[in-house]
Amino acid sequence: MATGNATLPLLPSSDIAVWIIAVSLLVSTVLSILAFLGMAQGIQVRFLRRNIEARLRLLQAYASGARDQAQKYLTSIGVKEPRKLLDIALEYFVIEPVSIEPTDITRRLERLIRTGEERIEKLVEEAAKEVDEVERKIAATLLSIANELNTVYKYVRHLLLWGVKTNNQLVIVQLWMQLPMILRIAKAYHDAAKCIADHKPIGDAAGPLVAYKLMRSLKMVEPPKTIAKDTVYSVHELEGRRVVIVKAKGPGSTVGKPGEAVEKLAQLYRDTLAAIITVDAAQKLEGEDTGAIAEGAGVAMGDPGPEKIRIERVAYRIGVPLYAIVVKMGLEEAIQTMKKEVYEGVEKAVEKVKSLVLEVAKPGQTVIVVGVGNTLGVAQ
Amino acid sequence: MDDTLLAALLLAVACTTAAITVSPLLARKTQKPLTKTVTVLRCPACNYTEKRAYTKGDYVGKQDRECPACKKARLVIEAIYEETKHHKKKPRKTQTPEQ
Repeated sequence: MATGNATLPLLPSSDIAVWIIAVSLLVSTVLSILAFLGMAQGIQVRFLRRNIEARLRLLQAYASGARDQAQKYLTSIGVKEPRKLLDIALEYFVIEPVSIEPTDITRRLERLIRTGEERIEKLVEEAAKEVDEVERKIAATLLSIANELNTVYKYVRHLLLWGVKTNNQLVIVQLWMQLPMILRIAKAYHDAAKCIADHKPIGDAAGPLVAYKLMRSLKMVEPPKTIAKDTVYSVHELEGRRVVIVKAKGPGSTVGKPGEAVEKLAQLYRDTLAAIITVDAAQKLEGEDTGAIAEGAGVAMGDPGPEKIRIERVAYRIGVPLYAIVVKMGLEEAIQTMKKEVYEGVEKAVEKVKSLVLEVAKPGQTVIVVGVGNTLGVAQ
Repeated sequence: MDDTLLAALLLAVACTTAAITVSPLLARKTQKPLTKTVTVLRCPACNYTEKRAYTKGDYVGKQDRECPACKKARLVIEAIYEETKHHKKKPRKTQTPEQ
């Protein structure tokens, strides 16, 4: 039997080398045959399933974390049976309106969205009667976050189980590919629940903060008044121009009804109305700077449609231009505590709105400025 | 080719594959930056500004304590935002060009 190797002393003798080669060839031949029989895909799917299951546990942790956060908050504001409220809110759903007949679809959608919102708000109000509006709005927002995360967790679980049950490899592979993005969004919502429970302004408050700063920096003609549900407006003056500022009523967690408010105000000031300017947070593209501002045309608003279309319709009816100013930020930045860069963007947007008002309106004319977004932590 | 050399080659391929598979698991995770939420207060009478740590119940527009500078008005919360403090990078022994 050969012992050692003169040129490569650490390597095995030639007999062992022959065995290694033989075993390697045998293993590779067997694996090749199994690959032709579909074993490779089977093994791959098994690995992907394990990976999805691990991430699903993370999603479950996010969902239960948001639920615990909501329960803790409800208990802290004096709700005696938070579990009862959570059981309804977590499983609450809204059915989409019929879309094959598009007539009045936005109005029907608006009715459904409002029904859902009002139902949850009513449940919170009944459970915590002596609590102020700010706390109630925050509780309702935490419940809706818990609802979203619960829905995402259950839907991902459904896809996994359904894919396994029907042995559908395509569903499992697609789910595995989409999960990193789903997890990123779920984590952002999970982290947002803590910011909201702490009453901190979030990135989406950029619009209402611009409105607040304009209200404080321009000469006041009429103090803030309620114009629609959770929505206020005040009248100001800028070098002879009338500036009507609209925002959600703060400092509670609400976006208000800016569409309804603008519709009413546009009718009220229709004879002198020169423009409608909307300011909102907008999702930046990867590579863009957080807090950068941009100007454009249209209604800057992230709602599903009903509020936005009201502003578009009234602007078309009266014949006034629609200007939009956006403060750019990432998805996570929009729903978590406002970053310094976003605040700096807000300051730039305030100056931009002022210069735009002076450009588009002559002295004696009116401009409606709407600060769109969740006004948590921002008063008027 | 000599049998011993071929076996060495196969072992080298196996070791390289194992190293490539394991290396992402051993990669160092980047540290999260430190964040702190601050409240900025301003006096509407004398423009005195002050920055302090955020406390629950603060909101933009809220009137806070009396202005310590002019004592004519109460400080108003002007901003609440999160500041980020990045970790200082440890100097490396061998410098690599920045990407």
